[in-house]
Amino acid sequence: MMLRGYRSADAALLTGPWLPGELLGLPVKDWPALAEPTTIRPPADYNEELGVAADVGFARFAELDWSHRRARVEIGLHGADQAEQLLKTAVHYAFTALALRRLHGWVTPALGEDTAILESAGFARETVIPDVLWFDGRPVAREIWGVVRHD
Amino acid sequence: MTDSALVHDDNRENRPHGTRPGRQAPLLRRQGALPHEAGEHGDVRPGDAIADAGSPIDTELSLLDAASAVVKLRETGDAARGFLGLDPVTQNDPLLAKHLSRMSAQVGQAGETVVGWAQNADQPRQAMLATTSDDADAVRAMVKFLATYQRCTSYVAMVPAGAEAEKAFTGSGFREIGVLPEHRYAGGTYHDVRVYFGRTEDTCPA
Repeated sequence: MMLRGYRSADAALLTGPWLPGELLGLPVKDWPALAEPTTIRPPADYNEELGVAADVGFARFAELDWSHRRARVEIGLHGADQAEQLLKTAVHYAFTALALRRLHGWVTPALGEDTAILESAGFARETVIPDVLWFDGRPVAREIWGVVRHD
Repeated sequence: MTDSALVHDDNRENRPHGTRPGRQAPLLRRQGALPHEAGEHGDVRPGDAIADAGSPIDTELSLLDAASAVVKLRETGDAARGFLGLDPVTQNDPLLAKHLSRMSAQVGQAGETVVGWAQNADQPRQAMLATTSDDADAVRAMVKFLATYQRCTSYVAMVPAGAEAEKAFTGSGFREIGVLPEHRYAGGTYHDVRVYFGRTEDTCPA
């Protein structure tokens, strides 16, 4: 799998039933019928980078900080089967093409997703912040998962 | 909040929620702009672990417009490194102002301490806090203001490991909930960032 730059023809990949900013952006089960899907805006400035896996999904590097060489990463997929590969590709892309040193992202335990995919991509859970996101009619906790390249 | 809203902070959008013209707020004074007025909940006490920790709050909080905030942060120097993720030592004034605007952050002054906060856009009852000293009263004053006027109920602070600000948060009732390893770069090496969390009671429960 390769990540390439965003093209306008990829716009449909940027909208889906994920939580905003979710590191493991898989389609949420039982997404409310009347809820607006999450839409990622196309990259607009140097503070973000968007890599597209054609017909599969995207990896977005937001809050890019070139001084601290870090970014918050989130992915979006319309199916779960290629999540692990996309995540590993995103980490490799960030550490090589973008020359970043650290990636971190939000994981929402209330979704019940299997975090083994994150661990296999090198991520580790760093903290749990209570009440950080409004979801399903209540504030829920979110975890920060991160990976640091040591070289 | 836009740049202009931060600079011309006497507009309606920049006024704390729940305030109305009429009286002077007990803990709030604005510098370089019109004063905020007290809200009808101005006498509400959060009654929480953070605000009740330690001695009574006698620190007065003043809000700063964007230009004054950047000047204050720059004057503070090393103690302001990592303040809401900013670094006044390596970032110039327009960049600091841009980041503050991007976060919709507000900066204030409590005594000699510069404090700042940015509400969580995904959960407006939560705010990200920052301070430049070990003064716990400055943090309590900021928390009391946010609990009373913004109806915040939870607070997060990401503080560079070893910074004086850690004492301010632990001294005001915050607890450490995690570490972001090698999250920031300064002085030629990478440093950890510690995450602190605190709560106040809902001042207006449903």
